[in-house]
Amino acid sequence: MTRLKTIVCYVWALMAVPLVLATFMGMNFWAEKLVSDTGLKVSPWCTGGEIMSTVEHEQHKTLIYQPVFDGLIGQRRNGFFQINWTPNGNSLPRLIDEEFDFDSDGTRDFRIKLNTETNEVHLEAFGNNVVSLGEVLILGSERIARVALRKNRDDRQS
Amino acid sequence: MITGGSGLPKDSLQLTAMIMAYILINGIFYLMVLSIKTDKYRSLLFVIYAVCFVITFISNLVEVRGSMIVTQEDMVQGHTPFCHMVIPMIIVPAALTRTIIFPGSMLEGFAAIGTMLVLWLGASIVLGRGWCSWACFYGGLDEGFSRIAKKPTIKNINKKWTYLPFAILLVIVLTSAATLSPTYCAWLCPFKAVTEFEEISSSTILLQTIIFFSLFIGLVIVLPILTKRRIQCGLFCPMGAFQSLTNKFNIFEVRIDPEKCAQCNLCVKTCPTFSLDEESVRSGKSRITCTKCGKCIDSCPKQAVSFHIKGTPLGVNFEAARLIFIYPAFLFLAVMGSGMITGAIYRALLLATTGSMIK
Repeated sequence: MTRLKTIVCYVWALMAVPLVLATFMGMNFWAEKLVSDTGLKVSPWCTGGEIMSTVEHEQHKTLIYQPVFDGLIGQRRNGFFQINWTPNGNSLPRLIDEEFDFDSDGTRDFRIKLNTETNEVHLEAFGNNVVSLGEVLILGSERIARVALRKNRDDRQS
Repeated sequence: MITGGSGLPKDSLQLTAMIMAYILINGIFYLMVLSIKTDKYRSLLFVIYAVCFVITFISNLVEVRGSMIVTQEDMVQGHTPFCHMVIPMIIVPAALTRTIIFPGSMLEGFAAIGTMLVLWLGASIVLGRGWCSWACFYGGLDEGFSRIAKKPTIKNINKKWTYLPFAILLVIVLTSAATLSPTYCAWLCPFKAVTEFEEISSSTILLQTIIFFSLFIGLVIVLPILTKRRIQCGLFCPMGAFQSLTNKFNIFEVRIDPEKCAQCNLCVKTCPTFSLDEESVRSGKSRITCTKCGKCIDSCPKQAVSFHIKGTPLGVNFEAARLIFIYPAFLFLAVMGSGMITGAIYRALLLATTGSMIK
């Protein structure tokens, strides 16, 4: 029995070299398998979340993301809402003025005015769920804005 | 393996750098096998690997981004390279929300999350905490500084400090889960000082940057020089503490043969990560934090310390066990390190021929 155990342990130890080779040679394959089998994704707190809808305009399109309130368990009270403006051609129009309904309840929650030349952004909140303007990022000819949100206690429970 | 399966480069400078890296790595391996000294040559390559990692990483960042600064734009686009230090912090959120709390990419680009996780899983199965002495691209920095002085200035370090990495691990796992952001990366990682950090745009980021540089100077440079130990790896790194748990199921370990041991405690004094103490010498087993660097094995005058395969008789086939361990361990170090070493040699050649390390 001891001899068998010794042989098994030596064989397991000798398997280390093929395991290293399999790790490096099959790295991309294993990585894709790991990601697809586990369904892991980068946190919406980093990416901005899933795109909820796209609004086409003459010179640009507005990508509207789902509001992010994701917590470790359930939802948090504080979150954000991401909007991405992408030009159809080379550049965005000089002025963008749009209203948004982040919770899809049929009423507008805030309005954003963006001057793409000076990169000045103005937020006008229509309700107390909209807290402030967060990061405004410039990605080449695109603009991204994040608006900080806070759920009411009733919304959070529902 | 060195080219990553992409064939030889056409650029003559890159080809020269690759050939030089190939000769260096193979030369070190032959010396390790022939001389029966594991740590002496492992350490040499490990330090070169870490220094080359810093050179290659920073040069690439400057080439792509123009500086070492990571911006909000990079983070939103998932352009932040994933680092193994994040792994302990992502596990709880990944289990509960199926999301990775790191602004990287799952499969695209350099150091994608998926590929780094596969590398770490492979290394954990093969090496256990040997990761910290054979694969980690940071470990060679404090190892290098710990070898500068001939004798330690600080000799007595209370054993209680060895529990600090486990305490930090617990704190960062809990705070990262609570905040859904990698708190160690945001506040405590000394290696931000030599990789990438956020642009100082607020007093909070300024404070974080001061902490990164202070920890790097203290834990990676000054204390290793004064103690001749790997202070960052042995007394601070939460990833090291986390990796210690993988030693439980890893087949390789370091053992002390009580029949040969002269109780000189030289192994205890030389262990760079405080993984041997008087109790280990008595029991013949290293502590769970052992990184399998081989320094205790090289330093033992009685050859009482050896690599050992769990489940096999102790004190038999001393050299066979060493070879069975160093082949996969060195292969890991060689493949992980070759890209960095080739990259750094290429940058040096570029500097010599064009006057700039950046293309």
